[in-house]
Amino acid sequence: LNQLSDEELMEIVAGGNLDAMTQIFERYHIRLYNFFFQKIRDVAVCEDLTQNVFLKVIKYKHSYKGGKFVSWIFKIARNLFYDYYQEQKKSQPFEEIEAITGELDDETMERQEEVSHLMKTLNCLNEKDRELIVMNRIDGVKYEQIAEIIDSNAVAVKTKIHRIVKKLRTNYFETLTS
Amino acid sequence: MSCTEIENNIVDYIDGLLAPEDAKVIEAHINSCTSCKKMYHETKQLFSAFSDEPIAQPTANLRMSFEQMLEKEKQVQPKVIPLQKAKNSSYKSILQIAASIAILITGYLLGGYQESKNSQQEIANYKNEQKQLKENMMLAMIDNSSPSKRIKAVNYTEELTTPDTKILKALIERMQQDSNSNVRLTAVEALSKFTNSELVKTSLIETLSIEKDPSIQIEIIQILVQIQEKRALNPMKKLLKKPELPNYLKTQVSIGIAKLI
Repeated sequence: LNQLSDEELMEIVAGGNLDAMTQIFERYHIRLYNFFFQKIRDVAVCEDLTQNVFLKVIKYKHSYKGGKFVSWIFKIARNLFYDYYQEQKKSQPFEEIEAITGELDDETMERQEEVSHLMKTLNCLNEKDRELIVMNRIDGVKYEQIAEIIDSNAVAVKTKIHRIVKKLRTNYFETLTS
Repeated sequence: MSCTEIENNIVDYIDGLLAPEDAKVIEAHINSCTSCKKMYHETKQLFSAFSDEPIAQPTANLRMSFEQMLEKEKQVQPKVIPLQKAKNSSYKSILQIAASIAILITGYLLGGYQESKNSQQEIANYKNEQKQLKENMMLAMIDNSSPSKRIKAVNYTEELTTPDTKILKALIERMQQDSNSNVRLTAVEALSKFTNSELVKTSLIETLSIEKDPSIQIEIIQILVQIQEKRALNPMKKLLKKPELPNYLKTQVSIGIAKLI
């Protein structure tokens, strides 16, 4: 099984052999976990979301139409994140307000300390840009596949990534020197 | 290449995604342009910060719950047979549908035929069994010490249309040898239905000369006259000559003889 491509593995899963899912898990669980972890710094939540991605892969195995598997699975992950995000917005409007006003309690401050300079800089980006750059630089997803995930084209993705890198670079070195 | 163009390709240049010619142009520019050189080094530093960023490791819970989920899904999942791609086979599928309908109808008709055949067979079997049972009961009861039981046994033969010789012989035996006249009379009545049998005819004639009971004699004469059995004439004439014969019986015998001639 480990000789097969992601796409071939997924075909096997779609054919009803769920054993191939184990191999897919091995290849993707850390990437997916990090995809979520860059957005939500909560281990339990990220593990839940990662787990849900694999569950959805099984549930929707027949809707996999043979495209790039990495795009498909990240699309699922992304949708799960947005579902989670919407739910959080509804159920915890108070935290949302707190985040906007920037009144951080001690605990949050402490956690901020542990976070690297890069991560702090990433927060200067909007959600969409941060997602793109994380997918590209941390999850190692190529332009073409990002284009498939966000329903765009490779050239547009490339342009966006370069623009984001420029902004990030400026911010990173400005705050680093200060 | 302008500085903006360099800026727009710097990521791909660092990632090594550019064509060698383009990469050479950029390399040359970077070496000659201070601002672009700075931009290049900063981008590289930023990217190394990305790669230095520790990869977050999920706890063992993730793998555990994944394995549990997978086991559950394996059990839930029905055996899925992927749908056959039915391209350009419309005429084929029509033929297939027609064939399946034909098979269905044939099956139905065949089933119906088989069913009726079976049930006819069953009824026949049942009737046969019933006959067998009656015959057996008759044979078992015919030697019973109780006369009423023997009469009952004889009566069993009423429902038989074609009794075997075994039964007929048993009836004849009752007619000729039973000590009870009622049994003998019932046997005569029972045998009257089977006068097609030569055995029955000859035994009836035979009995006419042996039997002493007038009512039985009358019964036998009536049967023999009914079937126009000429061979009965001689025993009947002999009967007439018997001096102890009651008058009413004489009359009956005479009438019988007259009818037979």
